[in-house]
Formats: sequence, structure tokens, C-alpha cells
Amino acid sequence: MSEKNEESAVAGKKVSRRSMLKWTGALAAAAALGAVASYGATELVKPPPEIVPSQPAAAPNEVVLTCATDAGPFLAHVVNGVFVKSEPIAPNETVGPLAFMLRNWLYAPDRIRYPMKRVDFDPGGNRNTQTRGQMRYVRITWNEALDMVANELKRVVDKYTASAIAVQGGHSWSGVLHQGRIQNNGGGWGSKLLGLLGEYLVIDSVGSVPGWSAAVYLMMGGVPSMSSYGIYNNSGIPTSTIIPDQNSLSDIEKNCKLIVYTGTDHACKWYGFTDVAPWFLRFKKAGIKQIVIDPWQNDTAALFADKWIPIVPGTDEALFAAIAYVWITKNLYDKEYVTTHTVGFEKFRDYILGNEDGVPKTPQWAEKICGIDQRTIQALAEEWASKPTVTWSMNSANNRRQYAVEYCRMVITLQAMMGYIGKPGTGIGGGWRPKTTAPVGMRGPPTVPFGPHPSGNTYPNLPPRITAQGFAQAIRNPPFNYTEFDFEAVYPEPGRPEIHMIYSTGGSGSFLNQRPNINANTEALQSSKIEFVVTQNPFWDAITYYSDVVLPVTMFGEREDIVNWQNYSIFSHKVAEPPGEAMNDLDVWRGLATRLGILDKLTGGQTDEQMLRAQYAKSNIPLTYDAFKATGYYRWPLEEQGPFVAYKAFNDDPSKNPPALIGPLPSGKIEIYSSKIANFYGPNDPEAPPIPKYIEYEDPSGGKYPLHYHCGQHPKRGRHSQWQNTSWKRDFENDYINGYRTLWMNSADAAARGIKYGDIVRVFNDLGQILCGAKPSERMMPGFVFNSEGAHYTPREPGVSDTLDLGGNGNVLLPAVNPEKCAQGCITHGYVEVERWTP
Amino acid sequence: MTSYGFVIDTDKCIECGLCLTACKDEYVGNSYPPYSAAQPDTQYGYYRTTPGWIPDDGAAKGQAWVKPGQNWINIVEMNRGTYPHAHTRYVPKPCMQCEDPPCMKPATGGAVYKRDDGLVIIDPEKSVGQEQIVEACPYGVIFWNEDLRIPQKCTFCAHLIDQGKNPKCADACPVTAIQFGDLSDPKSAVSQLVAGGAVQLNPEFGARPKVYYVGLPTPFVSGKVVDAVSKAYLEGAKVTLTDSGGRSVTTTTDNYGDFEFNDLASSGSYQLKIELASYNAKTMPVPKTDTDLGEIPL
Repeated sequence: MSEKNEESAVAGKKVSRRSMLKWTGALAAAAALGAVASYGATELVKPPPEIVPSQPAAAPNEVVLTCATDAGPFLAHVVNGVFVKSEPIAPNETVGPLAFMLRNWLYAPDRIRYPMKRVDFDPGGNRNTQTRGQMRYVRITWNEALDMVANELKRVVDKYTASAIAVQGGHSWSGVLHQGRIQNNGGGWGSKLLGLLGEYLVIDSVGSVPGWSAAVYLMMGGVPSMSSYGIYNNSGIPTSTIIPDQNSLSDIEKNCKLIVYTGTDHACKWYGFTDVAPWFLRFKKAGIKQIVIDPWQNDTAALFADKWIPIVPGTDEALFAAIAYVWITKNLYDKEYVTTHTVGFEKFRDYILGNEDGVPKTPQWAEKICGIDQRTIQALAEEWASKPTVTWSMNSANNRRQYAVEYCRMVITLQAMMGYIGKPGTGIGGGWRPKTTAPVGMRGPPTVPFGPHPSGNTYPNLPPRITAQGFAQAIRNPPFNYTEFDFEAVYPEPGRPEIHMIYSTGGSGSFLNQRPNINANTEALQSSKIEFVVTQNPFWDAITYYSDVVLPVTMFGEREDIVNWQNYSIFSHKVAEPPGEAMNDLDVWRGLATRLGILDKLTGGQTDEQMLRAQYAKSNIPLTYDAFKATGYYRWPLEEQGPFVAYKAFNDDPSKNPPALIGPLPSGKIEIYSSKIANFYGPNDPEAPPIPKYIEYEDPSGGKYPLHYHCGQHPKRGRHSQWQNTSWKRDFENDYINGYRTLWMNSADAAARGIKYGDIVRVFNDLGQILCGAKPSERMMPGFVFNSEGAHYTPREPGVSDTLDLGGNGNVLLPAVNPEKCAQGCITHGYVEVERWTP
Repeated sequence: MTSYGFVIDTDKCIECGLCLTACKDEYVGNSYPPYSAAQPDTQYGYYRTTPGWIPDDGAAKGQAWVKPGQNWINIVEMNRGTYPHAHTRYVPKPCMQCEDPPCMKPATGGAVYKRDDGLVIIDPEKSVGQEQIVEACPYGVIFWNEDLRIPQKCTFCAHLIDQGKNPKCADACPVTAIQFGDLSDPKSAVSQLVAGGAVQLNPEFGARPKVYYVGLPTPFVSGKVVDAVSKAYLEGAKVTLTDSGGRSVTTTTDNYGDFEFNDLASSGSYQLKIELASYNAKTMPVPKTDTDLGEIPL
């Protein structure tokens, strides 16, 4: 098929079925893989052991190169410039969890090949913002595209100032040099470029850990983080508080006797496959009792746990309050620790015993709320108090819902009551970097000191920002004011303009993917107030289809970079040619900077290799750059130097060592009664109580939709919108069934609705409607359904907001408004009905 | 003589799918003559309803569609029991490389053959048009390639074995759930696992598969022992389960009053006896396995 045909398809003309399918992501990578079809076994060579040369191997037409995504390293086999397959760097251990899907992704048919302009967008005339989303594009040249974007940047800055430019999107997309996203943690070329124009606005939230980041800041101290990435100082060390510090897994293996998982399936999601799962097996082998509390008998519960306790979604705080009740009334908690290490326990005790509100938080009381037998609550409380216990809840879906902060503060409070903070075999577990002794960040091993991003661009503190879930409200109904942590945000800030331009980057859909109420966001994106939307993306996804100009960029494997993954630093070679005219993000920004006359302030004349070498020189990898490149990777020693106990200094001497080293609370202790909340919201705000409470979340639809719905868990394979367009995901029934996103539901609930395995079902509420493939299961609590987030929003009628979403993106069904005041994280819990759907 | 086999430990399998994506990565679009032709790719798409975008036939207008790929190692979720006492394991199913391959019987012209090392190969050239080979497999792990009109399946990565490597899925597994080795060597890891009780799927098919499993969901009986009056959970009660042949197994209730018998040899009926000091012992029939008996008052 000629490229000309593709363009006419994009222009929206009547086209052949074949070319149409190509552009709607229908055809598989057959065309891209055509060159490989005759690839024969005789051409294979065995890669040399351990050391991987970047020179051609024995067969003249095949090379084996190290490569990496932010999801791990692998060896890439390349034949005549075509990336034909991957293999582990070493068997079993050194496998990136998604490494074998990269080929499927790089050659996916919905990669963007050429710069595109929305067909009826005319920057000099009618912008037709209302037709955003209709998926009609024409190909333009890079010169036209970069001129258009540069002109718009200049026009918007001149007319409104840079504050009218909002950036959005992007999860990790980063190597040491290349970084697609513009984020508010400061790293990256895009951030630097826009920063040269003025103080732009960030649309972002602490999307992954909203509950924890607020709870830790409020109870233990620290610096609030405005995103899941945290804020880094000039040495690349995180300075903001995202999650509590945790004991090393080797300490847990050795000293812990009970792990209580709530709302988390860490080992059985892609980010846990290769590093956490082997540890869970070790925990099992060590005889540590494992209890999973979750409305779904998740894979952790099914495979590792001794016991699964189903719970009504969103009611963990009631369970925790009843556990505290048992401990208080039976004298099972560590009174001395509470006295020496915490403040405000008396007020919490009064709440638990009912002295405050007349309702004792007994197990009988909790049973009615969370659906767990009061005898089970009693037994769990006694067991928890009897032995060193870790709560595994850090990456929990519970910390991404209404009243998530209460959930997280309850966990900290319970562990503090038992003195389980700062001692061996205890703590608050479930962080991100289990292989290192002290996981302090999410950006690669702390032992890999590449320093700050070579752009040199860092934010010392909080950049201007609105939360991603506030986007629709901010555009459609300003002013948009909200609270978070212990401060108030105002949009637009006095003296600043509203948003008039959106710059979207980083290969991830954000507010048309992993943020709630997508229909509201698509409507807001069609507002004439937003004069220009540009997206820089490797593949077509929802936000790309809502953009005026689309700039195709490269991915991992299509450019040279150095990538850190767990305890590996990898030289990631270029193993595949970019599709069409796709360009590196960095070159896009260079192109814009040139047109804006500021290239000398961005990169100057430095080449990529010069910058990569300069950056490498800052690391302490004991190899020359050339040796590192030839070897392919450097493996940092694993942290087996002995168990690490988080908050040990605080435990040993709280008078000298507050739990937070940066930004400690005035009391220097764990504040069960939060002075920050009391000072800011007052002592009696029902949506921001100074002590953690169970606050009932009322269904805004008033009970119209009978099923609890949850879309807070990550996809089993792939990060947010990334990797979701890989065709191979369609061969996993836990990802897709019959081409539709898998919806888990209880067997009896399904039967009552006449739904069988594999049926197409419509999941709906007042906010929208999506299609899914039904998976009735005995592993689901009755009255509860879920699918995983990340599915590409794929409206049946493009550009129409309340249409059916064929892609099955659950954020269509979730509300954006969080009644909670201390955190503005994503809301992942809602209510729906499910019915069989026939076309 | 060498006889290659797998032992797959489903107690470790987290359905990460690295075995399957590694397999697809190896075979989709890549042929390894004389063992395998390229595996067809998975295709999917969405037919939208915007004018100008609708396919002329309109057949699948406004729907998602998928043409599934071939899962040469297919991960099947196996369940026993019912909510909230479901027992689950993920079971990766490659070609079983049977000692007596049922797929060989209907094949003509030498389309299916066994190598000296026991690997069962479907010749991609000789098997053209022989769809009966797909039907013959009782394990459902042979796939029909519509474009090439050939049956296709897992080869245990014969081309990699020829190079002294392991099958790719075994190397890709992050929890070492897939063990590969020589079943004819009693010292090999796989032989020892087989000697230790690894089992075959559906031995009744009579195909003598060379893929063995550890940790498959086994027949179970569970329940909860409570005080007849106070309904309190009773910890430490001795629970004995006896089969019709008089063989019995014993366990004690935990702090939730729960007991559970796993790894029961058969799905038949049993007798249950519960004993606890200062309570009258209780016996009851258990008509079938994979049952939770609920609360049993003592």
C-alpha cells in the first residue's frame, strides 16, 4: 500500500477498506514485519556469553545489541536494520517484564509516521476547535509543523504570557538523555524549552500515590510532592515526600511474621513480575503468613496468600478503626511507643471508643460497613498485635480513591500504635524499588548517580499547576479552586491568564486516559478557549486525536541512550528504524528552539553523543564510555549487605530524630492528630478531620447503579496508555476478551444479568458508557466489578462525548470531583450497571 | 536417549505472560526451517461510525474486532471451588511433546514426526492442507494457519535446542516456574521433580505427555469450626478427613477456626471428624470435594 493512500485515509475521504483499517489500528504489523518473513534458522548465531559486543556478530547480517525500555533491558537481534526478536540478557533473572513486547509495539500499525494537521484547523483563520476528536488529519512537512508550533508558542506567549501554556501527559519515557515528557519535577528538554519562554502551567496530580503523599506529609512531615515523580535536587536525590520509607525485603523475609495486603497486587502487575514476585515466593517459603484483604481474590491472594478476606470496596478505614478498637479495649497496643513517638493519640482513642460521636467503632459496627464478620476482625486484630507485621499497601488502589488520605493515615496510625515503625520485620511496605535496601525514589537505583538531567533544568519547589482531574472544570467553569495537603490552589492565579494552549507529550494519555471523567475532558478540549493543542507522541491515542498538530516521535530502541532499570545501567542501542519521519523529542525541541532563536540556551551546538558522553562522565560506573557501550550494560551489586530497617533512628531516639529528615513536623513525631490539618482546615472540618476517620462515601447518583466499580488498578501488562495498543495483549484473557477490555465480575452477578464468559457487555452510569468483555469469576465479591485502567479511549463516534467507548477505558465512568480536601488524587471508585450488549 | 521435557510449577506462576510474549517474539513473523513457519500475528481494530470511515460492508460497524493470535504456550486459569473459597492456578500449556502423539496418527506423508530427542515436529511443508492434525490434539495446543494452510504449534524451540540453548519461554520466566531438561537423565532437575510427584495433564488421553506440572489446583475440603452457643471461632481443633478406603489426613483449625485439606488424592466422598478438648467430638459426611463446609458448630 502506498503512503499516498494512507494520507487520503487520514484526510477522511472515502477510502478502501484496507487502507482505512490501517489507520484505525486494525491491521497487524504484517507490513512492518514483512522483511523478516524469510528469516531462517541458519542465520541465527549464538550471542557470546555475558559480554555483548556492539560489533556485528559472526553472521554478517545479524547483530545482537543491548537495548532497554523503562521496563527493563534485553538483547535485541537485528537483521539488515530490522529488529527481529529479543532475548534475556541472562536467563530468568535479567528480564524486563515487557521486553518481549517491544517489537510488537515498535512495529505497531498505529505508530504515527508523519507530522499531521487536523484537516479543518487553520491557525490563520477558523480553528474549528469543536471538531477536535473527529480523527481527520492531513500530512504536513516537518518544516510546516515546526513553524506552526513555534508560531503558536510565540503568539500565545506574546498575547497571554507563558502561563497560558499548559503541559500535560507522560509517564516515564526517559533515558539519561532522551525524555519525552514535560513534567513538573523539572527534568527534561521540553521543560527547559518551555521554561525559557516563561512560567508555564502543569496539568498533573500525584496520580499514583495521592493518598500516601498527603498522609506521610501530614503525619510524618516532609515536602509535599506535586506529582508521582517527586521533586529532585541538583544531585538527583528526591527531596519531596511520596511514600513512606520501608524496610528492605531481606529484613521482611528474615523478621516479619505477618503481611497484610490491602488493595494491592504488586507482584502480579508488570512492575512486580521480575523483582517483587520472586520475593513473595521467598516470603511464602520463609513461612510468613500472608493475608489479602480485597474485594477481588487477586493473584497475590490466589497464589501466595494464606487467607483472602473479601471487603466492600472503599471501606478499609472502618476495618482499621475496628482493629484499633480491639487493641484499645484489650490493651494490645504499645502504649510506650505511642507516648514517646506520637502525638494526638487520645483524640483518636476518643473517636474509636465513641466518646467523640457516640459511635464506638466496634467490630460489630465495622461488619455492617465492610462486610467482614466481626469475629474475623477480632481474630485479625489479635493476630496482627501478636507478631511483627508489615502492611503492604503502598501502591495500593486504596490510595487512589475518595478518602484515600484517611486510609493511608489509618495504616500509619495502626502501625504506630503497635510500635511497628522503625523495628525489624515491621513497617509500611509495598514501595517501588524492592531490590535496593532503601528505596527512596522511583527513578532508578539510588546507587546510580547520573545526577540531574543534562538539561540542568530543575524546580527547587512547587511549579504552577492544576490537578489533572480538575481540567474540565478549570476550562468550562473557572475559577477552579481546590485544596490539597494544607494549602489552597486558585486557578487562574491572580494576574495570570487562563489556559489557551496545551502541549501534550510523553506517550501517555493522562487526562484522556488515566484521569477520571473522560467525557468531560473531551468536551473541555473542544472549547474555543483552547486555541491550540499540540501532541508529540509515538502512537495514535485519545489525546493525539484531540490535537491540532501531531508530531511523530521515536521510542526506545529507535535512538541511543542510557537507561537505568533496577540494578542495571544499560546502553540502549538503536535497534530499529523510526517509522516514517518520526523524530527524537529532543530534535523536535531543538527545531522549535531554533525557530524561536533560543537554541543556544537549550543545547547549543552539542550533539546527542557529546551530551551522552558528558552525562556518562558524571556517573561512577567503573568503565570508560566506549567500554560501557561495547559491553552493553553494567550491573550494580544487589543490596544484600544486610537487612535495612526504615525509621530506625526515629524508633531508637525520637527526641533527636524526627521521621522526616527534610521538613519535619513541629512535634517531630508521628502526628496522629495532624496539626497541619487542624491549623489549615480547622479542628472540625468533616472532609478533613485532624485524626484519621472512616468517612462514608455517598454515591452521587443516589444508589441508581447497584454495582461497585473500580478502575484503579494498573494493567497487568503495560503502563497506563503505553503498551495498550500492542496486539499481543489481545491474546491474554486477563487483558482482553474477544477484543474488548476484560471486565471481572462475580459469577452470580453475571448469571443474574444473563451474562456469560466472553459476552460483550455495556458498563454504564450517568457519566458515560463503555464496552467490555465479561469474565464471570468465583474470585470476585458479589456486587463488585472492575477492569484495569489504561485502555485507549476509543469513542464509537469520534469527537462525540457521550458515545460508547469501544476501548473500555474505565475513567469514562469515574467522577472527577473528590470530596476529600487533603488530596486531589484520581478517583478510581464508582458505581455502575452492567448489561449484555448486542450491536 | 535424550528425552526433553518440561516441569511447570504452577505454584510459582503469576500469569506475567513473559513465556507467551517471549514465544510470540521468537516466532511471529520469524520462520525456523525445517521446524516451523512464521506464526501469524494477532490483529485487532475498532470500526468507528464516523461517515467516511465506515467500511462499505458495514458488517462490524461500531465494534471492536480481533483476530486472535496463536498461543503456542497458552496460559489457562484453572479453578476449583466457589466464592469465597475459590482455588486458582495459572497453567501454561505448551505442546505436550507426547511420547505417543495423537497428532501423528492422522498425519500423512510424514507431516508429523518425532526427533531422536523426543521433540514432536509438524513439518511446515509436508503438513500443508492437513487440518485433521489440529483436530487430533486432545490438549488443544495445535493451531491452524489459514494463510499458509498448515497446522502449527510449539516446537520446544527445537532450533534453539540445536544451538545448545533452552526453549525461550523457560529462559524468560522470571520466577523459574518452567524447568526444561532431559527426562531420561535421572539426575536432571526435571527428572527429580517428576520423581517427586509432578503430574501430567489428562493422563487418560493415553498420549504420555512430557510436560509435567507441580502445584495444580487439587481437590480440597475446607470449613470453619465455631462454638455452637457463642459462635466463637475455635482454634486448635483437630480435624480428620477419612476416605472410603480408611486412609485419613489430619489438620488443626487456625485462629479463624478455619481448616483446609488440599492435595486430596481423589474427588470422592469423605468422612470428617472434629475433636477439641471440652467439646463433644463431631463426625459428618463430606459428599464431595471442592467444597467449603461453612460454619460447623461444636
